[in-house]
Amino acid sequence: MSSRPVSPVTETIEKNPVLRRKMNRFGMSMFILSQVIPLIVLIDVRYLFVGLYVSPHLDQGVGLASALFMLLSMVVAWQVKTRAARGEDLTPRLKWVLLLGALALLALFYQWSWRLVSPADRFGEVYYTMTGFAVFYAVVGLVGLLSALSRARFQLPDPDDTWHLEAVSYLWTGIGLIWVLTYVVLFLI
Amino acid sequence: MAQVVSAPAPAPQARRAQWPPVLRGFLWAAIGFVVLNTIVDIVDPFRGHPFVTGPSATLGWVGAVVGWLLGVGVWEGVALPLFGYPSRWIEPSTGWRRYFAYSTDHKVIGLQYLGSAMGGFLIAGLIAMFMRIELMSDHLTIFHYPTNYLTAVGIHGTIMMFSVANVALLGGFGNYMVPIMIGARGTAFPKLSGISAWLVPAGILSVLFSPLLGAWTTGWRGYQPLASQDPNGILFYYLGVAALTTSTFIVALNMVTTIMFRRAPGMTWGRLPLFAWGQVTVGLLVLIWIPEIQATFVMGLLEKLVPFNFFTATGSVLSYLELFWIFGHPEVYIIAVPVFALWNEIIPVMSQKSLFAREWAVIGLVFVMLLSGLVWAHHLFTNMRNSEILPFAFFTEMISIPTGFAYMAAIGTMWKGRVRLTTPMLLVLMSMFNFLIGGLTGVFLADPVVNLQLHDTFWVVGHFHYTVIGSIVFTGLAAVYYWLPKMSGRMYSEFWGKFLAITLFIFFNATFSQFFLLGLHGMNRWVPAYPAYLQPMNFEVSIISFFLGLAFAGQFVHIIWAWVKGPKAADNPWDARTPEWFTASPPPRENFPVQPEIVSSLYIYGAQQPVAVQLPAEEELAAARDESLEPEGGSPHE
Repeated sequence: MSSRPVSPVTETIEKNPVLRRKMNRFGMSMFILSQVIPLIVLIDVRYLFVGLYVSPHLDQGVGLASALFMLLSMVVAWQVKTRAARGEDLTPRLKWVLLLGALALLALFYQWSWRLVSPADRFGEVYYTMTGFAVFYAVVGLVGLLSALSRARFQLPDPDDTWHLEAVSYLWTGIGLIWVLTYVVLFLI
Repeated sequence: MAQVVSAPAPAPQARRAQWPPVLRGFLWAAIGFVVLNTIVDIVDPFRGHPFVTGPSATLGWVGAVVGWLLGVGVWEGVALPLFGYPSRWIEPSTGWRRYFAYSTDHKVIGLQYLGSAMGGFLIAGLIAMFMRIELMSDHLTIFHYPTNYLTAVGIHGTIMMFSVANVALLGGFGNYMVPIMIGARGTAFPKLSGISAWLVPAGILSVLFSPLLGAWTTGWRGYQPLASQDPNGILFYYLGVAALTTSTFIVALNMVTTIMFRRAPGMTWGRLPLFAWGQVTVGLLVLIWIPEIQATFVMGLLEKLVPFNFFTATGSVLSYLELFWIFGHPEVYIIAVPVFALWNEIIPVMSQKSLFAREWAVIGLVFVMLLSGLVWAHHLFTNMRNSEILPFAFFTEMISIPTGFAYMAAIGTMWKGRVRLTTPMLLVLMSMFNFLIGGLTGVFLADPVVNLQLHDTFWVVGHFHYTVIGSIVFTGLAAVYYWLPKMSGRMYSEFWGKFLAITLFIFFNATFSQFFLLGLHGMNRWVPAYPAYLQPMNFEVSIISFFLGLAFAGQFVHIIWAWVKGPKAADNPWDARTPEWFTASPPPRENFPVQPEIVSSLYIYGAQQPVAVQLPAEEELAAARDESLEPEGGSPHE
C-alpha cells in the first residue's frame, strides 16, 4: 500500500460527536441483535418439543393483554429513542414506558400465579422457560428506565448529551420485540 | 455535558480511608449471598432441608456476584453515576493498587485479564497435576471415588477453556494492545469493559468451589442429562461459566466496536494490524455463539433446578449435545484465530521482512470463522447416521485450507528473511509445530471410520491439548515476551527465555505425544482406574508432566522477574512498525500524546520502508503546553 500525505485529524470520536453516537448505536444494535440468538434457540426448542401445540390452560386474554401492554410501551419507547437521536428530551414519556412495561410483567405474573400451565408437562417447561427469559430481559430494561428517570432528577436536559435516554429506550424496544415474539410463538403459532 | 441541577459537586477531596476494593468485594459478595439465599429460603421454604438449597444457592450466587462487582468499585464508578447521583470516585492513574479495583483504562483492564488468566492457568494446572498423580496407578489412590476425579477433570477443563483460553488473548492482549495498535486513545465502552474484567475471578472462584455443593461429573461440557443426576455442585459450574462467558461477550462487543469506530485516521481496513483482524473475526464468532451457549446452559440449569425434562430420555438427549457442540467447535476457533493472527504479527517483525500474502492471511482468518460453524457435528459421529456424517467430515477437512493460509503467510514471510531467533519467535515456531501436530491428528478424527475407533480415548485428549495448549499457551507466552518491553518498559533475559521455552517444548511434546500412543493402546478418557497393562506408560507420562508443570512455573517466575527487575528496554527493541511501538513504554493513560495518523502499510520492511505512524507536530506541541499548565496530581477520570 502506498504512502499518502497527512490529512487533518477529524475522524476520531473525540472530535466528532456524530461518530461517537454512531459508535454507541452500533454497540447497542450489536447487543440487541446478539440477544435474538437465545430467542432462536428457544423457538427451536418450542417446536422441537411441543410442535404447534398450545395448552388450552393458557389464558389467551391475559397473554394478549400482556403483549399489548408491551407493544404500546415499545411504541412510546421508540418515539423517545428517535426524538432523543435528534436531541429532544422526552424523559417524562419514559414513565409511560415504565408503567406499561410493569403492567405487562404484572399480567404475566398473574398468569404464572394461577399455575394453570403445569411446569411438569412439556408445554409448561417451554412456556416457563421462554417467558422466564422475557421477564429477565424486561427486569434489566426496567432498571435501565429507572436509571434514566433518576438521572433526570439530578441533571438538566442537554441536547448534546441524550445518548443515555436513547440507549435505554432503544434497549427497551429490543426487549419489547423479544417479548412480543415470545407471545406470538407461545400463544398463537 | 449535562448540567447538574443541585449544587455543583464538591471538588474531589482526599480519598476517605476505605476497605481495599477486592476485600470489600468479598465482603459485599458474602452479604449478597446471605441476603438472597435467606430470602429464597423464606419465600420458598423446604422444611427439613439445609439453609443452602439448590434454588437458594443459585439466587444467592446472583447476589454474591452483584455484591462482588459493586464492591470492587462498580458502585462508585458506574452505579451511582448511572442513576445520576454524584460520585466521589477517582480513578488512580498510577500505582499497583489500580490493578486491584474497577478501572476504565484498557491497559489496566488488559493486565487484570492477563492476571486472572494466569491465576486460572495455575489453578487448573495444579489440578492437572493431581489428575496425573491419580493416573500413575491403575486404581483409585488420592481420589476416593471416581466422581471426585471427574469433578477435578471438569474443573480443570472449565477453568482452562473459559477463563484462560477465552481470556488471555481476547480479554488480555485484546484489551491492552488492540486500541494502541489501531492508534486509538481508548476503547468504545470502557465502563462496561471495567466491569467485565471482574467477572473472570468471580467465575473462576464459582467453578473452583463448586464441589462445596457436591461433586459433578460432566467435564467442561455440562452434559445433560448426566448433569441433572449430579449433586448441586453442577449449579456452580453453570453459574460460573455464565459469568465467564458474559465477560468474553463484553470483550467481543467492546473490541468489535472499538475497531470499527476508533481507528486512527489513515488506519484503513487494508492497513489494520493482523491481530486486530483476528479480534474482529473472533469477536463476531463470540457475539453469535456465546449467547447460544448461554441460553443452552440456562436450560441445563433449569433442567437440574426445577427440574425440567428437556434433555432426559422423555425429552431429547441428543439436543443438548447438538446445542453444546454448535458452540463447542466454534469455541476452538475462538481460541485459535487470534493465535494465527499473532503468528503473522510477530513473524514479519522478527524476520524484518514484509508480510507475505497479507490479504490471504486475512482471508484465511475470515474463512476459518465462517467454516467453524459447519464442522461441529464431528464431535457426535458416534451418534449420527452415515448420511449426516458426510457433510461434517467434508467441512472438517476443508477448514484445514484457510488454516493453511496462516501457515503459508508465516512461512512465506520467513522465506529468505533475516530471522532473529528471539524468545517470542522461538515460541511462535514451537506453537506452529504444535498446532500442526494437533491439526494432523485432527484429520484422523475427521475421518468417520477412524473417529469411531478413537472416540473418547486419550488420542482425542492428546489432539486437543496440542491444539489448545500448543496454540494459545505457546503463542500467549510469545505475546508476553514480545510485548513485555512495551507493557513494563523492561526486557527479559534472552538466555532464560530461550532455555525455558526449549524446556517447555520438550516436556510438552514428551507428555502429550504419548497421549496418542496411550489412546491407540486403549486408554479411555474419564476414567481414574484402567487396565493394568497401561500403568507403566501412564506412570512415565505423569513423571514427565510434573516436569512440564515446573517448566510452566519457571516461565511465570521469569516473566515476573523481568517485569519487576529486568533491564530497561529500548523504546522499540524489535524495530517493529505497528503503532504501539510509536509511544512510550509503558504507554501513557491515553496511549499517545496526540492523535496519531497512519500514513502507510504497517508490514513493509526493507529499502522501501516508509514511516507508517505520524504524530502531528503542532498538536504535540499544544499537548505539551497543556500538560505544563495542568496542576500536578492528575485529574479525576470521568
